Amino acid sequence: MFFIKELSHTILLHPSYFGPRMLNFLESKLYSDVEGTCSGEFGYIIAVVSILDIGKGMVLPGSGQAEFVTRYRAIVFKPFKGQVVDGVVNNVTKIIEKNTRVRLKIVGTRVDATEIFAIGTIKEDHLGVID
Amino acid sequence: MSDVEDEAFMDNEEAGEEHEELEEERPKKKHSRRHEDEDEEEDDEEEDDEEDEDEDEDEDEGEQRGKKRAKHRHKRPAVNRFLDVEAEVDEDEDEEEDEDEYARDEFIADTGLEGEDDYDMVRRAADHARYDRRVREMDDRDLEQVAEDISQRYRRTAVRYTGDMSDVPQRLLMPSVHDANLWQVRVRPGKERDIVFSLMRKAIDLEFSNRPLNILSAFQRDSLPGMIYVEARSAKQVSEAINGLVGVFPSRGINLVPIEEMASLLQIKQQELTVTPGSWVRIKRGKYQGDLAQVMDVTENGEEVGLKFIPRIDLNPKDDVGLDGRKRKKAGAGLSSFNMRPPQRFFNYEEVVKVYGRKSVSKRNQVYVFQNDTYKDGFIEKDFRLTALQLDDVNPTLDEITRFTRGQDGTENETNVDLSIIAEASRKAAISVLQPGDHVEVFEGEQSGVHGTVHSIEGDVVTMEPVGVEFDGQRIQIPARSVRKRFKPGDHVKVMTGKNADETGLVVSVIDNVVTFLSDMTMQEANLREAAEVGTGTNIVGNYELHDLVQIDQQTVGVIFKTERDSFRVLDQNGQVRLVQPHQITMRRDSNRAIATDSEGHELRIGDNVKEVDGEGRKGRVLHTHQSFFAFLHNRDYAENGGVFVTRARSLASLAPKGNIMKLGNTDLSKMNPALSGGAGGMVGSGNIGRGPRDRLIGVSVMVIKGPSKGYVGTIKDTNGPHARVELLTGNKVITIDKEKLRRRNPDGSLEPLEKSFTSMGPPRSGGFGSQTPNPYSQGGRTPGWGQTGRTPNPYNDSRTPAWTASSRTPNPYADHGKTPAWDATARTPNPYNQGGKTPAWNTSARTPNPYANGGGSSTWGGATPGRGVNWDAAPTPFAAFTPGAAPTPAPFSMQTPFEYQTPAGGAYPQTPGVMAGAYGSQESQYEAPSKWLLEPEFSQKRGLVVEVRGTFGGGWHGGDFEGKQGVVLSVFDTHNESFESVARVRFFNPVDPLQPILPVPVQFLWPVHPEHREETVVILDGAQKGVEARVEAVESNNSMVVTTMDTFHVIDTSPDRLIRIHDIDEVGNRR
Repeated sequence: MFFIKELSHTILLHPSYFGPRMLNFLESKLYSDVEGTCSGEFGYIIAVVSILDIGKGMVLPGSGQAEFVTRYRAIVFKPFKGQVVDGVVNNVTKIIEKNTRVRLKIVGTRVDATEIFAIGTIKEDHLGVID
Repeated sequence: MSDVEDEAFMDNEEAGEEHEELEEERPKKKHSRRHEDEDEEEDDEEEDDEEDEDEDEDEDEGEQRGKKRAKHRHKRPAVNRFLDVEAEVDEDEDEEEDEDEYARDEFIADTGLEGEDDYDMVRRAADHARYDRRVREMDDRDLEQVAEDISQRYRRTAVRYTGDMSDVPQRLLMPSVHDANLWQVRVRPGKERDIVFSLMRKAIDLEFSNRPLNILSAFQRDSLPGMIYVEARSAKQVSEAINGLVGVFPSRGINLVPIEEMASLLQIKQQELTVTPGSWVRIKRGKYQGDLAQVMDVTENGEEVGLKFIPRIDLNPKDDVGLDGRKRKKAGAGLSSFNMRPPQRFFNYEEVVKVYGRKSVSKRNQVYVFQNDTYKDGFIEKDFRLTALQLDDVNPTLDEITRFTRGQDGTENETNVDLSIIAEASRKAAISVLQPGDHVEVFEGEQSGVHGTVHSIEGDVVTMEPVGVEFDGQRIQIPARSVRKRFKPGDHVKVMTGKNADETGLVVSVIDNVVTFLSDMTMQEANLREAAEVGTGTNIVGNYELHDLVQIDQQTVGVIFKTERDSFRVLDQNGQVRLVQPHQITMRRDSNRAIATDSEGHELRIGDNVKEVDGEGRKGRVLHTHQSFFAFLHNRDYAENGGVFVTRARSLASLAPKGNIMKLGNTDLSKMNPALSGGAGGMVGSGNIGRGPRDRLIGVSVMVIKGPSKGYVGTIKDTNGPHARVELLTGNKVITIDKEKLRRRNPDGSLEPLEKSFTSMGPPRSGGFGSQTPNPYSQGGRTPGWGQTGRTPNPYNDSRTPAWTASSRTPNPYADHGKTPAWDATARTPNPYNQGGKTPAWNTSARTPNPYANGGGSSTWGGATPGRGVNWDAAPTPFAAFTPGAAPTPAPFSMQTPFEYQTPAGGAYPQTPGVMAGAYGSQESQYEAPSKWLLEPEFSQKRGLVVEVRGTFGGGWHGGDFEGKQGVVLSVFDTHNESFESVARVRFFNPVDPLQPILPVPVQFLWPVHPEHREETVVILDGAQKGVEARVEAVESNNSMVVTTMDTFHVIDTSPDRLIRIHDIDEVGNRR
């Protein structure tokens, strides 16, 4: 299921990046850091919708790096048991061809810290290959 | 034993003297002895008491007493020994009686209660009677009886001997405080036995030496690794004994074992090892390590057992196997790298023959012989020593046993298999797996098909609450082995036993009692019949986790790609798979900071998706990099090794779009901005500082001035904080010594302090950039601004530094936008180090006397070492201030030019000199008068210049007596000749010798005294108004004064350094 979720992310910035383009650095860093990642709690972060607050940089004693706690809004996807999803076959063990589009119902999930696995079934009505 | 013999025996025992007495003077002796005996009797009583008391008293008493005692000793032992002898033999009761009799006789004789004749008579009669009786008895008994007696006698002694030993109560054998102690010594684990043996050898070796080991015993227990036990009276003896043994850690203490624990240390646990044919064992070592084997037979002594197990024959030998297949095979086995061991496979004649040739296998009866091993029905049959086998905790799995039962051709043969072990094991497992609240179903018995949750477990009985309409709250009790966990599709399960043991996965389907699940690791389906556990399977064993990079040994690291119950499968950097126990892992490695570059030279970071550019073109995600060379990748699509594979980092290319690579998102913002850290030659301090240059002092020739090595000359080899390692010229010895005790030794033999003198080290040593460029920063205190002993303003801190205040006049390149030139000037700025040779000033420096070069000889710029750790960004600023003085002014100031040009700051804006040219008059700078300034025409005619004597130490003018003295110059005598010193007559304010207030002083030791107060009359030392007298109008601060020239009334703002006080004096130097 897809959600829009407010999340936060902490970025450390080396002093050499301080300057006029700092915000650019931070934004691109945020995108590259979070998009496509997965947390067990929220699921996969599909895309950052907007940056709510880039945060005030706090210079860390010792290293001189600045710490920005960035708040952003993102589209996340988390599969749930019983959910019907569409997907593309990636790896095949049985009859279906690779890259076919299938509709399946998730029957079980396993959530790791950084990954979510799901088992689905196509053995029900209206499930299976879709074209 | 006859009396005669006895007597003779007794006599022999007596001293010769007494012997004679007995033989010849018996009556007399008897008489005298009686008297003596009377005395003795008294003595006896005394003595008995005393004997109970302290024996030491004996020594204190007189000789006489000692004599008496000696006599007693004669007597008593004789009797006692006699008794002893008899006692040992312990004859029949009769004889004992006799002995008693005899002994009594003897005592009677001793005590001498009867008359001597009577005594003799009685005794002899008794003897005779006894003898007669014995003879009679002997006659009475038949020979058989005699033999019986003898044998009995013999037997009884033997029996009693052992009896004696065992009769001692165990309690009394226990160690007490009087016994030697047991000391526990820490040793290197695994070396305990060796160390005990070396102790033994050492003890034997030193046994007859001057200093034998004083330890009594030493032992080690296998169950207590890392320690040995030594029996000795004191810890000191132990430490002496273990001294010098390798692998012993006396530093970790030699601990006393409490007395009550001593015995338990030595207790041997009785091991009941039952090896019976048909039982299962595991092989501990070798190629078949861990393999299950079945006992076929046991040798009589129980040392060896014949085993039957599934062979591991290498059917893909690396070398060409032909003639010497066996040899090669052996060599392979010798490597014993069990990661290379072939899989278990039943012996197949055809296969083996195909690989190893027909000759290698011979057939006898039903048995094949191959490489000295016997193969029957596909199994290998081999004898093993019992020690090489694991007899307990065998826990054969069903899988293993079924392989045995199935045999080579898949036919079931139930013979010889004891399934009860497995039944037992699986039943235990079933119970241990269940927990209250588990969802279970009954799969056998009446209630088959019922499912519900476990309510409680008591022993083997499970109480469950079935789910379903008809049950409605009932609880039923079911044997634990009849229930099993219930699985639903989507459950995450972990396999407990069987082929897929310890795999985790998601259940795909449950059909009857077979669960199909999709393994997390391999993404392959597997079927299960065994009990499985629901729950999150962890991939953590010990401290290690799946996909950790672990260090296996010095050379080997690997990535865990599969975790098993208590071991890992690890893919090492050579691509070999190893089975590793957690304890075999040295450490987990963190490759987060490891740096590797891919084929395009881009940084390869963990988590990157990459692709091989050569070879198989595999894709994967970077798990780890190792030594910048190996990259461990992971891709679920590869079934092999759990999708983990190793490749060379250099053969990888990023899968990310090309243009993306240097895009910001890809860079690590928590590290140095690569755009900045590149180029900039001046950025010395940024990256290269890491290891730091070697200490300047290394290689310096020094002399020791204190301590036992005083006076020795050597070379510094290494430094460490306040210490230096000095290789002495003499003895070729390296000593470690405080730097304080060292003085730098110049080639001419003179000494100077170690630290400050690197400026005069002569030619720069280290090569590389700018080694020839005089670096003002490395001068430290010698920078003019610094060196002026506080009178000169510190240009770095003081806002009045010309560079700062004069920023309106001086274009300060650093002022704009706060950017330091190093940032953006990298491309444009001529690198001063590269063009050092071109700098005109550099070339001229040879002929231009460098003002800084003559300050006592220690401030030569030329000798500067390259700037180390200099922060070029911040430091250059003040040097802008130097520039102005340079260009326009002739003579002394021109030599500042080179200096200015050589600094990076100078290089940053080459136009500066021109700009500054006109601005000189009002410019101040740190100034020091040149040597022999007094000879300059402007000053040589002046009278009354106030001067100070400096630099006479070491140089020798009056041995420095006048150092620091001030005086006025009366006249200057210039010889215009180097060989004759130019001198000035100086009238000292406080002469050392009041009778000689005026002395001629060589001009090089005279230095100007600068004004400090208003209204002082001064002479300007340099600049356009050089030599002009002026008056101090105002003191702005200690580095700025406003003076007015006497004749032209020019107002000049200058620093006191450029001024010299002058007094109006009379003929003899008195102030007017």
